[in-house]
Amino acid sequence: MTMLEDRVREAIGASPVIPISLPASEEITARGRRRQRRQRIVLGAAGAVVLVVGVLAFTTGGRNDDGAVFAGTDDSIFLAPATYAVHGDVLVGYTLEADPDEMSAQIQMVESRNGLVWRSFDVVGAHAHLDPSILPAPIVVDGDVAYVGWVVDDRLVAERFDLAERTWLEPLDLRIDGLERDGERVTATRLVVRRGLVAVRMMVGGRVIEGDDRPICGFESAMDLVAIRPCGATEFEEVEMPGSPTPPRIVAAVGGAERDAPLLVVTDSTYPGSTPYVIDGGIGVGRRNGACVRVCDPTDGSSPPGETTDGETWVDPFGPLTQVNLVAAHGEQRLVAENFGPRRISEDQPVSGLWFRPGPDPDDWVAVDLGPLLGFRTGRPEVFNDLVGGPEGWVLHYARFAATGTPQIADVSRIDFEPFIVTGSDYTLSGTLPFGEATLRNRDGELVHEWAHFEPFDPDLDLVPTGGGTLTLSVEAVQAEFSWADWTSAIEPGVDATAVLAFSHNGVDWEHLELPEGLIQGPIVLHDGAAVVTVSRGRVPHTFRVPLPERDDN
Amino acid sequence: MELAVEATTPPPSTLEVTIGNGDFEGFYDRHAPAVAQALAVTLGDPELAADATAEAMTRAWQRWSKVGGYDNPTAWVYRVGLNWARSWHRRRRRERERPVALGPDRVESEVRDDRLDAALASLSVDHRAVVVCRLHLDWSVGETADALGIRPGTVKSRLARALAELRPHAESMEEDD
Repeated sequence: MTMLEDRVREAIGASPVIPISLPASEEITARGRRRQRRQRIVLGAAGAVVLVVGVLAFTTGGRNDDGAVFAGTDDSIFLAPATYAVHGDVLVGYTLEADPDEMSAQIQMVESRNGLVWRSFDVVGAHAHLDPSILPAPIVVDGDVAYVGWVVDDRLVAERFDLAERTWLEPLDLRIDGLERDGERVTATRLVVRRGLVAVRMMVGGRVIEGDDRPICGFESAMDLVAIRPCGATEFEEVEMPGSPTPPRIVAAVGGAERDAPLLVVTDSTYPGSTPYVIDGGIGVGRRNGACVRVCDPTDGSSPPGETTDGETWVDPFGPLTQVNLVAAHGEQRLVAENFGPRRISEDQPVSGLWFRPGPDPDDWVAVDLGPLLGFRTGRPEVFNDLVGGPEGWVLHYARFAATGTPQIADVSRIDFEPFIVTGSDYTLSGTLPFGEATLRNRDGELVHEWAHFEPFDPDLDLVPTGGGTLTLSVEAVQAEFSWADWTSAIEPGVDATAVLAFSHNGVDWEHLELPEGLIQGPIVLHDGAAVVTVSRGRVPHTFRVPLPERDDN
Repeated sequence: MELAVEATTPPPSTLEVTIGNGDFEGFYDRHAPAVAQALAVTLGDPELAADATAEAMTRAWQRWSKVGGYDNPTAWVYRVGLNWARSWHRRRRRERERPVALGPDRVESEVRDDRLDAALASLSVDHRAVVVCRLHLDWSVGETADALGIRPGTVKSRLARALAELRPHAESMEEDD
């Protein structure tokens, strides 16, 4: 031991009294018991958020595996990321290497030249970590810096990765003024960064109803209707929201990233809230019904959200539109999807819900007739989920429900239950899906645990990706490990909805794109003549390239 | 009821006890103060250290059938507590804003030369954690590597860099002596 080490040891050891108050052990054990009942992490939480989003909680059980990528024998080849963004000629995203013991996950940056095969970055220096319970954490790229952002308490946090230097930078930390959480968890669902400006779309997830801690596996919402399906239940329950018919509060925020500029915060008391989007050199924030929006702008408390290139000067790009939900931008052109999805009152009227602005005039909006694309349906069988614009054209992602009447509330009880079995190294999980009985048995066939209702998306299911192409299911004292591939092939909950992609060269004329069945998870990215999408199957993301039609100039 | 801890920095041996599948509450009562103290030194924030200890101990309770069988469960708790404290940026911000040395109440400051303490507090948390594990808790390189989830070579290099940063301060103290 060197003299220097002795002096350091002495300095620490001679430190004076540090008063620290710890809870009694009884409180720790009580906290642990409560958490065991309620808490869940990683994909359970992400699944719950997906449910709250109302974006098709379950897949259709697609069977087309064309283009799907699994981890190969090459250790540098990774599973597809759940979210990614364009950086020059490549796509960059991240996967998580989680340690179930520590409830912490290392962020593994990955890149792909084709959206199909993903390889990890050889990171210089220490890796960044995140607590998987904050998922989803969207990723965006601005210049050579990738941001992986989330919301904790009243702050927007983004880990930043220098793609050129392959090293993690100091994280970004923005306080969000005016965030009203009402005891709910707030989750970032979309992040936009441009030239020092940051915008984030957030929503409340994890728990949807005050005073009811039941894990929720289904959530549906409209302006005057909220319904939940508790995990294991076969029917949705309509819920009365005390004092207001509206679901939990939605928030969108815009702030200065680097210079600690005053934040503009837009809070929206109604579903589905406002969405940030990228314009050339700046950021836009879509708005919905003006009467429902409250703007907390430190410089002007009444100005509506809109577009900005500097965080200070804002313009309103929407003119007469008051039901803006999603916005895509390319140059001066804008494409807007309204809140309620495509709709028409009768067969002799156009199917409305999508608007195109061909130039800079904020009042020059063209109503897109979606009738040729969607046909006529009663009720509201489609829901807009995402819009993307670029030099190649425009892509619309929407959900189609097979049920009639109030299609958002699927008739779960009529789903056929199918047996499944997935075998890991030491344990075998078997039962019936989508939410039947299930058992976990060890190698000797001894019963370890049984479920009356097993749901892969149950937020109380402690299921964690553990790297190396494995998942770990923690039950009581047991940690059962399964391969991603086995889990995926065995457990694909059936559903009553389908994700659909449509494409337009000019924003007005639309056609459907061929898409593997399943839930589209994360953003859609236009890259090298294709839409790159992630389809989630049994919680495992698979990326696909969906070729875009070539422009016919004749 | 709260467990009030008014302890001086504990002797390292209190963190080296190897236990089997004993009861969690006994483990907690015996080791939570020491873990909290080590985290306070590492994080420079007693309040954060208390929160991190409580969180890590809660997680230990949830996995006690496994964690309790580890050779050094306190190392697991220390690591989880440290990771938890660092995982939230709010807490990291607090670390940056309040990089206090070893505690808020420096009752001996008038008689002690605290230049080395201040230098220690100026280290990154990564480096401070290695210093605490190796020199305060007296864990081996391997134990420190396991506790912090890093390679043994990283333990050595971080300790070397930390000591290199501390050396000028120690030398200036020696010159004054």
